Amino acid sequence: MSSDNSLHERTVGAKRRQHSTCDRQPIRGDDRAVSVAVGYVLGLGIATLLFSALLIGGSGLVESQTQTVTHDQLSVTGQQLAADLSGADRLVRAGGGGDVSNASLQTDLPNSVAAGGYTIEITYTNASNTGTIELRSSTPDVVVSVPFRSVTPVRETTIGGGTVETSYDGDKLVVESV
Amino acid sequence: MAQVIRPRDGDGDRGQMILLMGVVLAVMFVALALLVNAAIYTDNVATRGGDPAGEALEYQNGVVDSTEGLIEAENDAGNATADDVRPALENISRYHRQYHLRRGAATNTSFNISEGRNISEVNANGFEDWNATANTVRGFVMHININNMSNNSTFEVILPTQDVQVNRTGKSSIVIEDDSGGELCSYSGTDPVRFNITNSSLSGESCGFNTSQFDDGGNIGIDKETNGAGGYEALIESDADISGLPPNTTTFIYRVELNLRVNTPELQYERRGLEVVSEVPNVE
Repeated sequence: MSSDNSLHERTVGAKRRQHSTCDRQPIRGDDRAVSVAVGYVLGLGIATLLFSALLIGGSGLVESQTQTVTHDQLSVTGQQLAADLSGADRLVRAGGGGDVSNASLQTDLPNSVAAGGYTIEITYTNASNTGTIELRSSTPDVVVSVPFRSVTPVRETTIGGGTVETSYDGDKLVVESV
Repeated sequence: MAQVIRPRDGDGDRGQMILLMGVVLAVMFVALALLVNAAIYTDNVATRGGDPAGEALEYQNGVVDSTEGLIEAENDAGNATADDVRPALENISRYHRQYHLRRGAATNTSFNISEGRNISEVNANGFEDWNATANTVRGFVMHININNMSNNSTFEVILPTQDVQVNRTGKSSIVIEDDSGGELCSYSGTDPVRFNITNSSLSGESCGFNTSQFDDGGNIGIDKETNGAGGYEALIESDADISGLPPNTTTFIYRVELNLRVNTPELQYERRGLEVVSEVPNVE
């Protein structure tokens, strides 16, 4: 009799364990109340929004930084050329008389700036012994003007970037690309 | 795009958008890095202290200052000649060449030395007869003692442009005349009277003879010398033989003409005929 009872208990226990296992199994693969299309669109939309914001913000940042750096580069380039123009003027006017048979200064200016190529336009006013070096780049359009002073007249010209030479032709200072 | 985990069933073509955006962002970061680099380099260039013109001017001023000091010292010592200063000028040239070579500049100095003659007589009754060829006349001033001149006597000052006669016409009066005897100016008063030949004035009054060619060279001297009285001093640029000039005559360095050249990688500079003139005081 006792052996019959114990057999019955083992059978019931096994059935209970089997039943509870069958209840948990479907939860992991349960895709009820979920639309694949909606989930896909939502995910795609969020990702697109995020990446668009990054792209727009990033490209704006790059553009503004390009403009700033280009302005700085053109400004420094103009100051370099203005310094050498004034230096050449000092050489020509150095006291003691005599004839300057040769005076030329080479300036290594950058071939291009952050925005790409650029032009240098030199204007000079005899009456005030002053001039302006205007440096211009496109995309982004940046223009920088650097004033300079030179008692020796300077020939007006427009040149590109790169190495330039400031020389004295016996009458005026001439700036040329080398 | 919904799944980013590589599925096990072999469908591996998802996740391209993240990949693409990653590449785009990477390019953007590289661009930003390049911009930052450009900005840093620009700041570096902006603060560089290069002044190639300054190197040439420093060289020129150094040579000129050294030469001026040399001429002053030699003239103070008296009777300086070109042969006295030439070795020192070569030393100056060599010193500055070596100094600037260490700084990366090739330099060269050549020079022409001009001698001068300081011709003078003091309290003389009757001047010396002399005549010299002068390239330029810096100063020629007489202090004439009219009382010691013979009445109606004339002595002659030879000038590059025209000769002038100093004629005593009375006890205390003289007349300056041109070659043909025409009166240029006159003076009547106490002794001595100052006759500044280089600026054509007698006792401060303009005398009207031409001195414009004093810097162009020519003969200068005194003739009919025995009729003159007083003193004078003349500073002329000349290498005339000192034995043919009055005894008090001394030599000095009138000027040094410098030809300078400087070459650096950025600069070519050459100046010819830079004059360093002696500081011998002008006659008063």
